[in-house]
Amino acid sequence: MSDKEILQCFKNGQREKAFRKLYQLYPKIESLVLSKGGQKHDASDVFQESLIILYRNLEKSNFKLTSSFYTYLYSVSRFVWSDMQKKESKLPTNSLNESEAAITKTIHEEKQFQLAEQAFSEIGERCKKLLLLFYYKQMSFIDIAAIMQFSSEKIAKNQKYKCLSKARGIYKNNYQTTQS
Amino acid sequence: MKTDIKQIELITQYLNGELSHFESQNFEERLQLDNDLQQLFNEQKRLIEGIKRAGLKEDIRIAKQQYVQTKWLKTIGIICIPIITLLVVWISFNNKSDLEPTSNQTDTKSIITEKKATESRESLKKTMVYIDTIETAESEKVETKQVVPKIKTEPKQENTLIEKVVTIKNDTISEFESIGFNTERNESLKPFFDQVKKKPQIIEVNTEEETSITLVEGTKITFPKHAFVEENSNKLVRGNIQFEVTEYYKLADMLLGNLSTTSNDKPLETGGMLYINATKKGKKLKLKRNINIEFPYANPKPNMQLFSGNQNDDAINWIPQVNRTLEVISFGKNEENVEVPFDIVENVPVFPGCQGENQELKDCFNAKMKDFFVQNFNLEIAENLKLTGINRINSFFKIDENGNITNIRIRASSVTLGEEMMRVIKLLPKFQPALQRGQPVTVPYFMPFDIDFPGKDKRLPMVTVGSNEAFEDDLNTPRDSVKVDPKNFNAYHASAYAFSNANLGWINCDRFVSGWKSKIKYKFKVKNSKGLNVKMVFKSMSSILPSKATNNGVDFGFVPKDEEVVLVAIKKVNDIFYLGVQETQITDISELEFDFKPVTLEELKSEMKKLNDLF
Repeated sequence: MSDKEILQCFKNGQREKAFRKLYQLYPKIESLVLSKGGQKHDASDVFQESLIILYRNLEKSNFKLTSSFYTYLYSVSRFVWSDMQKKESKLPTNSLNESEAAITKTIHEEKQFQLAEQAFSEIGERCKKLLLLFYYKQMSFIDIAAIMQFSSEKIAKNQKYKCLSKARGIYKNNYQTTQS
Repeated sequence: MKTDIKQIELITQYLNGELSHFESQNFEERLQLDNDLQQLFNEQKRLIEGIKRAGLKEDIRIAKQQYVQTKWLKTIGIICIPIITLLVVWISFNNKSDLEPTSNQTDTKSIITEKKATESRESLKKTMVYIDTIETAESEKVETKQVVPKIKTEPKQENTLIEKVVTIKNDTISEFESIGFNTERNESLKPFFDQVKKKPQIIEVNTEEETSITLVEGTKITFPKHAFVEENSNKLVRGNIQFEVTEYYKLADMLLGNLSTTSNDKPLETGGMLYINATKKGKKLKLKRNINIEFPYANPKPNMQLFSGNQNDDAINWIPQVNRTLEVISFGKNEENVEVPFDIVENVPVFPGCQGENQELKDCFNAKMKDFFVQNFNLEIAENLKLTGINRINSFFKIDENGNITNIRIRASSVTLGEEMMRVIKLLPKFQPALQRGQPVTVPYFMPFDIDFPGKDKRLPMVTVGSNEAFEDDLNTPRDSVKVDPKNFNAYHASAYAFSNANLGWINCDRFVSGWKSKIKYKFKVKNSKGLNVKMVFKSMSSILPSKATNNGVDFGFVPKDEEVVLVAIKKVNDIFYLGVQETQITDISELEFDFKPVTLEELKSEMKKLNDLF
């Protein structure tokens, strides 16, 4: 499958399919991480993170993929790995070119979101599913009510607020503990 | 807190790009100035991105799983290919020497054998392709000719729908695609199911008119004008289109279509399945507007829902359709107690003085209702009670077919408040009743009423005032609990399940099966289980369960104990079909022997038809 087709999959919202195709590149990324002294599970984490970063950037309207997916993922993975190892990237930011700077910026952003993601794993499966359907799958409340078997749209909406504030509470709490 | 919710909603809209240019500029300016808002915005953004992250991870995890699976399949494939090739070559040489002439193959025999010799070489390639790209296997289907007459539907006249009864001979499977032509020898049953599955009825439909068609087995489909758009370009389609429908009401049709009735492994009881497709000049179409589908039935069952199906190689999974409520329609006039929720009913009850289209009528109804309560509720009564904070009074009532208020039930923090509310409800004027499909119906209505007093909120215990009749109380059930079906319809004298639907593809009118007491894991070994396809048909209801193939047998997962079922097993060995039908009662067994009989396609089909009575 060509890069163009994968891109089309992303555009059509077939994320799973696109990711599945991109996984063909995994062995190469794995050997990259292994060569830099990582373990197999590190490689898996790095690749996952790189895919997230790729997706985030694809979502941005001003982003244009100038290289192949492989080249892009390779360079993202490199950054992700060095970031993971040193926690604080030592690479001087001014020596980076524009697209590399965008990558490091996204990596940095993602780290902030990770804390929020953590909160979602603590709010219970049903709440998580509801929020996923709304924010990630971008379904309407009518649809959500039917899937989650709420008796009305309104209840789904109410539940969403409840779940979100629950997550917010946990997030704030976690945030404070990490800050202090 | 209230303002917070509003802000959060605004932030969500902004992040989703739902605000207009002007609004978002406005929002950005506020963001610059308002520190609190900025903080809230950052927090919300992180939360939303966090949940998106969780979703992405989930998608990636699934993708990875599939990737690993395919990798394994490939490895297995590479090992298997030489073996299969040898097998294929061996079999084709064997066949060459003693191919048994069958009655309808005598003419083509020589071609077949010749073809085989060349194809045996090709099959190596074929198998590779098959393993490599499972997704493209769909396109390798053996193409069969379809000879189905085209029927034009007439435009409607004088505002009444003309129902054209379309009668199409359901031509049986063309014999020329018989066993000898099968080039794939990996014993997969997919080509088989592609061969025997029912042919669609193709109807030419004029999209410029509202059209209603009735199909061979009684399905009735009504399209509004201009209901279709092109799938890729979303362009409105005009003129005539090709509409294809396959009806699956008979057990034989379902079994031969490799269909089963489960939704994420939960069993369903079916009221019929349809496969619908629409094309214009070969281009796939999709629906822009809802079409109405009526499934006929002999014995009505409540709680039917619409499901849409995802078909893969092994089985079909039915997913409950979103917001498609069943409506049981009756052709008789003496139906009783049809209740349709306010949000769903086609024509809402009309509050005296309201005018306009349905949506306006709905809004007007809600607004007038509110005004009425505000005007008539005697607040002095409430003040005398010395209440503080927000006091809510929840009222439930029904507006019946005559437009009268019945079944009033009120929950309030005090009996006095409840009784005052009761007095006000009884003052309500007579409504014009709600209509569903032109028939007056009862509509339940829920009205929350808040009285805000100075002071702190106190959570007072609620008391119920009003009739004791059993009545659904949405608010009393915990919000998180699973509610099976809030829209219970009680018309048992109807003769079709009607839905409106916005999707094409696989559609199923089903309900979840519940009330099984003891379930057991039903899994057994079968001798020579390779390529075996076993389905379980229930005697007590219209339900078909698929099985998963295990190493040396099949697995049905959890099924109800002691249920009487028929197991239907099909397999193909060396291009001969074997059918095994086994009536049994579900108990804990470890092995089952099917009495496999070799059958031709025709025999197989007639055997399947014998099972039809089970449904």
